[in-house]
Amino acid sequence: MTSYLTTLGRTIRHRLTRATRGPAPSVFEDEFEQPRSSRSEKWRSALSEVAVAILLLVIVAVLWEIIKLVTGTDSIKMPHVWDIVVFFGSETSQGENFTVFLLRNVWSTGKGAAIGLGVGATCGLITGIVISRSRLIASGLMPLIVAAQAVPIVAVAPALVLWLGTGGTTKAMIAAYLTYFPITVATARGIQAVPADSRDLLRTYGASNRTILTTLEVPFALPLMFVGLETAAAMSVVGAIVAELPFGSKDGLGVVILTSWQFFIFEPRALYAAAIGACALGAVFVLLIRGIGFFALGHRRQGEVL
Amino acid sequence: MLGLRAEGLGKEFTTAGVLALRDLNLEVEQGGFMSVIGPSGCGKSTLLRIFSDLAEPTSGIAEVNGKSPREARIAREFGVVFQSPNLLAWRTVLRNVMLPLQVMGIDRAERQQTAHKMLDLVGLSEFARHHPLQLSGGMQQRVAIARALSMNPSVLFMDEPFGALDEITRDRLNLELMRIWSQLSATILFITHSITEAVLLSTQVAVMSGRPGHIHKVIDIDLAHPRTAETREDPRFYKHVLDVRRALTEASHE
Repeated sequence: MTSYLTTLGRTIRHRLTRATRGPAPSVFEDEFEQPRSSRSEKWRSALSEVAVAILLLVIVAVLWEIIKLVTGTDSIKMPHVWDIVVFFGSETSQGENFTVFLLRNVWSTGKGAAIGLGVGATCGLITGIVISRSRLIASGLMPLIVAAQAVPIVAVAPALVLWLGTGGTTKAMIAAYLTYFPITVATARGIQAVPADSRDLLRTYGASNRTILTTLEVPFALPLMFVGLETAAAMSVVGAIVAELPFGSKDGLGVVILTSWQFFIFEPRALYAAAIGACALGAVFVLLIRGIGFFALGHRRQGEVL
Repeated sequence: MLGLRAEGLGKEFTTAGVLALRDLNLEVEQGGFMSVIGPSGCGKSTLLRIFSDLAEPTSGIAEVNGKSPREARIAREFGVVFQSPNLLAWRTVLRNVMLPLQVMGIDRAERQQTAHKMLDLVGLSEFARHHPLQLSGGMQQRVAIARALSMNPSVLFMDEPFGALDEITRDRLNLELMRIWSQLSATILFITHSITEAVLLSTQVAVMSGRPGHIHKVIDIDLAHPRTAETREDPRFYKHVLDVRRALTEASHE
């Protein structure tokens, strides 16, 4: 463990110094710079990210126990970490294994969130492209989109549930609504950052607007679009859960959270377990997007504008 | 037929209320190498943008190989190189050079072959599989030149292509460009801020004066070809440098 930590520390230190120094400026013609991020380096950094994530989880668990001990909080408000872990193996009142029960509901929420993310991403991509095309449309549309984002979705959700029912459609709708904005902004910003000269060059080759979009603008904006997608992925899970909160919903993480909350005094661990389930689903979504980005961006990095 | 011709060319940016060019006249023979030099903001780039159909003149005529810039662009008769190489970071060097051919709809085998040939010409064959950011600035600019040449243009427009490079790299690329030009016999319009660069490369140097931009004087450079590193030591080279310098001073006092 100790030797692992020293290695990890060294890796992080090394990466930090490299990041601040940046690539060395080259003076002579034939002296070419080292690849800024080769494939193998990207793999290595992905692995160390996983290691850091696990390490952070352990730290959170330890901090939880320390705070509980120091403040003397009782086990109803703050159950022991290991008690919560054990709870995942317990049985529900229907005689079902709790983990199975939780996963079933995570699946229901996840499905709604995934459909919503897909719909929101598609609409956001299209809006982003339209906005980047015209200053007039951008200045007219942006305030509306931003204002729509200020609507407290928790307040609107019950109305939507009455209108569309408690099924997957509502979940996908609210998830799409929340994911739409970050993807729109990321796409528009990414395309607006394309250098004017690059566009001019393609024009001199006789490229149509569509060719410019597919060969230059979208690939150029891709690293920024993945930043938007990642934010959106987490939001889509939140959106789907919010859609499950109104009265009448039958399944999903929102329902589990609500019922666990009602029985909190008798079984506080259920609520924490449900929260962990929600976190895990969000993390899986974000990691999936990051994984797709890892391959889609080749040797580039997410968020990089070149 | 002339390679490039401008007659009474004028350009006004109406929104900014700026008269960039007025009554500009210019002639470059086919296969000629003309440098355009002048104070900042004298309209050099505007002139190049008009010739390459990226801007429209408000008056006068511009012709590329006897055609309007638009016709010449559609016939793919010219290539453009800007100060910044503008390579696509996500494509390899080879695929960057292939880009114009891809847009033109040429089949894959042929565009690969042409791109390899062009990389050979600029001396970067071994970097075909690299990504642009792995190359130095000078090498990136050579890729940009290879890309412009891949369309096999008879005219090349270059807007301060070596302006962002250090002096050593610039000297080497100047000689490189001379070698390429001698192999291609293309007409080149080359915009620069460097007097020595203009004299070394050109058959003619056009000195511009600004506000509004027009040609102040065209100086013939009668140095022998091929031009090499030794050309810079020729006494006539210095005479020409002095001529251009004097013309530039006159132009800025006009």
